[in-house]
Amino acid sequence: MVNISYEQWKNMLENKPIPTILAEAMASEHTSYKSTKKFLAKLPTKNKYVIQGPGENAGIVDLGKGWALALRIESHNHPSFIKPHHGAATGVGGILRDIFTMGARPIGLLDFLRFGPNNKGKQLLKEVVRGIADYGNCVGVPVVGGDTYFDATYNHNCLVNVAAFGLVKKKNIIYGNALTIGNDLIYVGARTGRDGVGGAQMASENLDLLQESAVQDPDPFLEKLLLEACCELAETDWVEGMQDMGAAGLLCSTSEVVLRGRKKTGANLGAKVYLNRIPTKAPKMLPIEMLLSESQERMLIVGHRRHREKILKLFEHWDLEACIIGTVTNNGKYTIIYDEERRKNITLPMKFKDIFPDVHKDWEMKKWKPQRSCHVKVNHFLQKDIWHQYDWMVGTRTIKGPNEPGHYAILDISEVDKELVVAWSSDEDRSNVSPTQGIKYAFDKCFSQLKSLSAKPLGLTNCLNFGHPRDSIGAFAETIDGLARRCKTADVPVISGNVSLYNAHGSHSIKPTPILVMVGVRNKK
Amino acid sequence: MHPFKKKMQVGIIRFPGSNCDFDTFNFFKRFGHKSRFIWHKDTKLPDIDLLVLPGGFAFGDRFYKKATAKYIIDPGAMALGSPAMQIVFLAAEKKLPILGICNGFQILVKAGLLPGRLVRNVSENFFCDYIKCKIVGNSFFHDEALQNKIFIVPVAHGYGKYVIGKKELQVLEKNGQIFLKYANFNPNGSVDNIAGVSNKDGNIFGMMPHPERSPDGKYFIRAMEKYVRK
Repeated sequence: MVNISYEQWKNMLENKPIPTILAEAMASEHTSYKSTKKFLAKLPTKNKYVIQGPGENAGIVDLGKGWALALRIESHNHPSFIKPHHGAATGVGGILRDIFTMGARPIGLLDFLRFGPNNKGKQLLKEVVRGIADYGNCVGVPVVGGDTYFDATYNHNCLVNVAAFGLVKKKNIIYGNALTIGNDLIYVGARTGRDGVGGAQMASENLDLLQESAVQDPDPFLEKLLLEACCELAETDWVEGMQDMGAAGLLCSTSEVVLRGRKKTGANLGAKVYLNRIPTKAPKMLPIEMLLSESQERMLIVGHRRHREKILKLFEHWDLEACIIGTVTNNGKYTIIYDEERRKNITLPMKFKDIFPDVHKDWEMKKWKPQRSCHVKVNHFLQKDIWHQYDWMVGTRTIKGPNEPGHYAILDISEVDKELVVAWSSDEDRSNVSPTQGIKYAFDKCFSQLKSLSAKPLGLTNCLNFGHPRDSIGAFAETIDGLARRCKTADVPVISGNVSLYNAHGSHSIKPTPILVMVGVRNKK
Repeated sequence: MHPFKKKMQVGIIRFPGSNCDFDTFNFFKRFGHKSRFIWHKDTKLPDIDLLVLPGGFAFGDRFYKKATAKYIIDPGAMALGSPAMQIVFLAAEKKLPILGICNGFQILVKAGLLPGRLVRNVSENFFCDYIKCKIVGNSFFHDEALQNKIFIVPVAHGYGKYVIGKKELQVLEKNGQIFLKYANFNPNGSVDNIAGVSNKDGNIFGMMPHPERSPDGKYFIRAMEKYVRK
């Protein structure tokens, strides 16, 4: 193996050396939360029901009787504006993987859609709904609720937020970590293509700068196979970690599992990744493209070495392509190896602090200037037309679905002999007038909804959609402060969430749009 | 369940992409019957009283020559290539009762075990809601007690429009093979509001609505119990 300098590798790429590109990808807002993490730290994330708070693929709360609920929400705003069907579908795929990565079987989806009231907005809505339906129906996870609003503030930035929740036995929870030296890094699922290269950065920029090629292609059938295979794996003790290849793809997933393992064990863990073993679908892919591709329906499994054959056999049973792409080491370095035939072998060791730079970005805290556009709920008929396209009953748990009015859903959890109540906020127009009052109102709405249905609130997840930080970070800070205060008073922790900044076009930022989803349980009647 | 009633042994075929497999399993379990999954690569017909092809998206509703290559959307077509279809044909030959629900119905039609064709809904959209259905013809598994009854049976499909030639339709009507019709709302544009048909021998039944999701599920179970006991 020959170590080459950054400059040598530079020739293979465009202008920048690889580590710089990688560090840039990892330092994007979407992966590093550089503008928001100091605010997010204020949110309470623990109480006696919380098994896993933010920082993993999904948050997990205890349901009792050995069962737990995984919960997460994600935005797919930018891709949905550029390529609505694909953007929305891959959004659903991503959030479902976040759930079954934890070993949980997804049992419900919610979608929150915000569009401009013009023709473009209506066209986008149609395509987005079709995207969600095509994906969710095929995978067999019911869309049990959500809402749709029109507002001119979203003319150039639609919002597509999807929440998902799933059931897992407590003993089967899988975390996104690599803990043991010598264990396998297994790649499973779709082949790596050029689609979605740079998607994470896309979510961190204004829409004006973007292209279609950064939106990924969806494959719900493959997702279904992955889901079943991963749920079966969760029942075994063959794996010690699972991680979805989402934002910043292979690079992020392989390095993140090791980083989490380093934090948990205190050991000087590292990873070796053999890039030439990655199954690719496009010819002549550059190493950097393989590392950053955001092709969908791919998972990274950290498998015990001694169970390697059994794991591979299980994937074969589900007709999934799997291969060992690397190994967990004890040298504390993240090493990429690219040893193509007839070329010089390349080894590039990097330090973890180089890949995960602790970046911060401060913005001037300006007070939010309210906008005047109308915030209108979708009319009854269109609403009905939307949920008719979703299979909202598959799984036969839906007790109260989108067929009845109300910002909540009720699902049967016969495993623990209880009912799950999921409530969500809407009417974010109040956040436009006053971000503090808006989020408090949203929280109170969810909380009182659960209380009125005699459900005990367990936790919440939030998707914070804001405009460009230069004018919206003040509103963001106010929102977090308001939410933190309410959460503390009511003892409802934030167990997961997502931040979407840069929902802006030119100098126009969208109204602050925080979406809350609160879950609770009640006894069966 | 009644103590002296015989437990039905139900075989449920699981194709990759079947997503009502567990719902169907639990449906029979709820009424005290024993189900087992048959993987689509199995070829041996187990000792069962009833064979079920559940709903879902077998092979993602796709038809392709190579998994990584281009595909067309044609629900049920790909499943015909599964080894487990040997089990279905053998069961049909042995006159075992077979029930196809939603995607299972599509597969049975594609396999030529049931008449007609199922095509894209008129709306060109997926449709899911509770729907009222009426039992007609020779009834569901010939259960006279259900005749002319109306039940709430949810539908959830994008390719559920039943089409058939005029002459064949008359034959079906005459033989009483059409056993289920949409009662007050046709969600997909099916000919003559047809929601379910059986074969001529009356042992293979296919329906687009989902009895396993129905609040009236027990009536469907009872009909199958009666048929199996005979």
